[in-house]
Amino acid sequence: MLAHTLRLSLRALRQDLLRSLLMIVALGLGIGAAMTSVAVFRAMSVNPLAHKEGRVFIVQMDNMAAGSPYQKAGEPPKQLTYRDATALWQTHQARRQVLLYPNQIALEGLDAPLSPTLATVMFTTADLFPMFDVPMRYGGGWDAATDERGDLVVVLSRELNERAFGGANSVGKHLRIGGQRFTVIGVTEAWHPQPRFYDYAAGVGAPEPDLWLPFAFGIAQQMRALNNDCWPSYAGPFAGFQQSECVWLNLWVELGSPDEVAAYRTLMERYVADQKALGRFPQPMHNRLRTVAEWLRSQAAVSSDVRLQTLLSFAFLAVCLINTAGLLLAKFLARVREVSVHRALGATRNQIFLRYLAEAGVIGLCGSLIGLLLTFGGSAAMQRLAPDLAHARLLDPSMIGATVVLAIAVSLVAGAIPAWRVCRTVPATFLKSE
Amino acid sequence: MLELDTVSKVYRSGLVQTHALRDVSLRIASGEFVAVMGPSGSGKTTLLNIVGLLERFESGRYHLDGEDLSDLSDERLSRLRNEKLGFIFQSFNLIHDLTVFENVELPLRYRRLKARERHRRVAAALEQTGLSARTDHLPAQLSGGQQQRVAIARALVGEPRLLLADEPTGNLDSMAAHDVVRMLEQINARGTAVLMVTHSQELAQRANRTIYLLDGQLTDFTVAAKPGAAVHAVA
Repeated sequence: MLAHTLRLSLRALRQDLLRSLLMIVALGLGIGAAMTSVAVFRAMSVNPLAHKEGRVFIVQMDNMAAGSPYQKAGEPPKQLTYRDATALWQTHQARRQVLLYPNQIALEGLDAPLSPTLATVMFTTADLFPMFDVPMRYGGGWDAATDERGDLVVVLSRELNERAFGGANSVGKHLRIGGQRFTVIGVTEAWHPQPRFYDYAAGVGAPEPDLWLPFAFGIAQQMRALNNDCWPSYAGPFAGFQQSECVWLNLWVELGSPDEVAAYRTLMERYVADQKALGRFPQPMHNRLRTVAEWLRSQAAVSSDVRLQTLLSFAFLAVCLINTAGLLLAKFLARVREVSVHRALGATRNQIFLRYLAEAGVIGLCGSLIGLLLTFGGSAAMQRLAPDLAHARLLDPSMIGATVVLAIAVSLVAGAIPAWRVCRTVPATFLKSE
Repeated sequence: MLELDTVSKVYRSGLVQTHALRDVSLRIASGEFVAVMGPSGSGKTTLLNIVGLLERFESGRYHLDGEDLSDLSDERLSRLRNEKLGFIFQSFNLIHDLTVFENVELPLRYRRLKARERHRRVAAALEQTGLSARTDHLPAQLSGGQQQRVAIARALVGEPRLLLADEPTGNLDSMAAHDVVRMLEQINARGTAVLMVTHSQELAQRANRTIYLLDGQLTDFTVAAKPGAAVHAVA
């Protein structure tokens, strides 16, 4: 019966092709606009570490000069200086703690036919992999002892592993990185948290890391972060940079209980108080220990423009829905005589309702294809217009699935009232008239 | 087989009430051929619609094969329409975008018969109505007479107990009308009761008896049209 219903629905669409096309295009436009906005909104707003909300925190302290707030009064810089970040790190007061900063580094295959290239690297510490639940395809991350010893190990992104080793298990293989021989100890799965909360200071659209190297190696190589804020600007040697007020490191901590959170806040307060005594931190104390969600909110990951754009696009979808409902009503009511014949032959109201709802669903399915095309196009346009989104992954299988589901759901909502109207008609009324 | 007991139907439009049927009582026996006559607006089609379960009525009782139909659900009424009743309309009421075969097959689909059984029954119905060569035609490709034969095949295919025909020859020329009446007689001869609304005295004379409606009420006599039958009171 379902196949028969779908066949009748397709035939009915062909019979009234112009009106059907109008509805499909209207739905497609609405879906395309809404889903493009959702893709942007999602890339900027979803908490990728929601399952650890309340346990993982970013550490912020305000080392800005007196009378010169970072961006707005009361808000500390996004990152920490080397001396502050490492000082807190060395207390080992958190269950897990991660230092990280990005840069670019020369890379060349040793056990792989990979020609010399410049790769995006994230220098970090051992806890990053378990703290952020980085999914591993092969091998794993390194341990704290490796951080201490300064072993030359590397974790590759899945994408770099595809390029260098054709996707094969490369654990134990070697690469020349920054002129030194590194051993691959792990390969991540495709891991692209959106937005990229762990290094948000680099911008949503900063390139994804190709590889992960021990923090100590980056420091030993005297590599700074790609993005660092200095005041006054600093152009001296690396040792001086390490002692400067330039902020360029992200410090994340994982804390297991409210008591641990409170203790860490106390640690930060004591630390800042000590620094003030030494003549640093002239600003009032603006310590922040923010969860990922709080962090993203504080960075206005979703601007009011994006919120407005999302609202407007859904309003537009609602208009498309109402139009489609109107067209469906007109289309269905034009066929009440046919409905009456079906009823006379034994169709129940439910069967008629489902039959016409299925027709609306088929329209939704067709509309979803147009919606998908427009979402692809819209997302590409958004990425071209907004540099922050240039490298963001706006569309993934879940978004594509959501687009199809939304289109069908919208069409079913649009079709429900017309289908209800038409199934409630008294068949006798329309069987006599010509 | 069918029994209406003081059935009334009122149409309401704002403050205006129209009594389409008033206390109509009627019995139709299995295999009977009954014609319904009366002037326009007398309630003939309303009677047919109520008997055909296409419309509800305000008061009275309706029994079909002993089952009281007064308060049945839409689901049950639909099943009864599908299994016990067949319809033939003046304007054929075929589905324009379905082929002859698909039109005739429709009642069997709602009965959820298997494809093989549907195919067998549709082929037989089309054979009986002389349309075997037209199975893949669309209604628009057929003459009026052929379309009405498709409608008869569609009514027949479910093997109904009662065939309801609303002016079945009203849109046909005399030759096609003759064919249709002959088919109705054949169907009736095989034991299916027929209730036919008509304006044609000639057509009515082919029925076992004719009942007359006037202003929604049955008049107090029927006419036995066929030889050997006698005029007798209804009530």
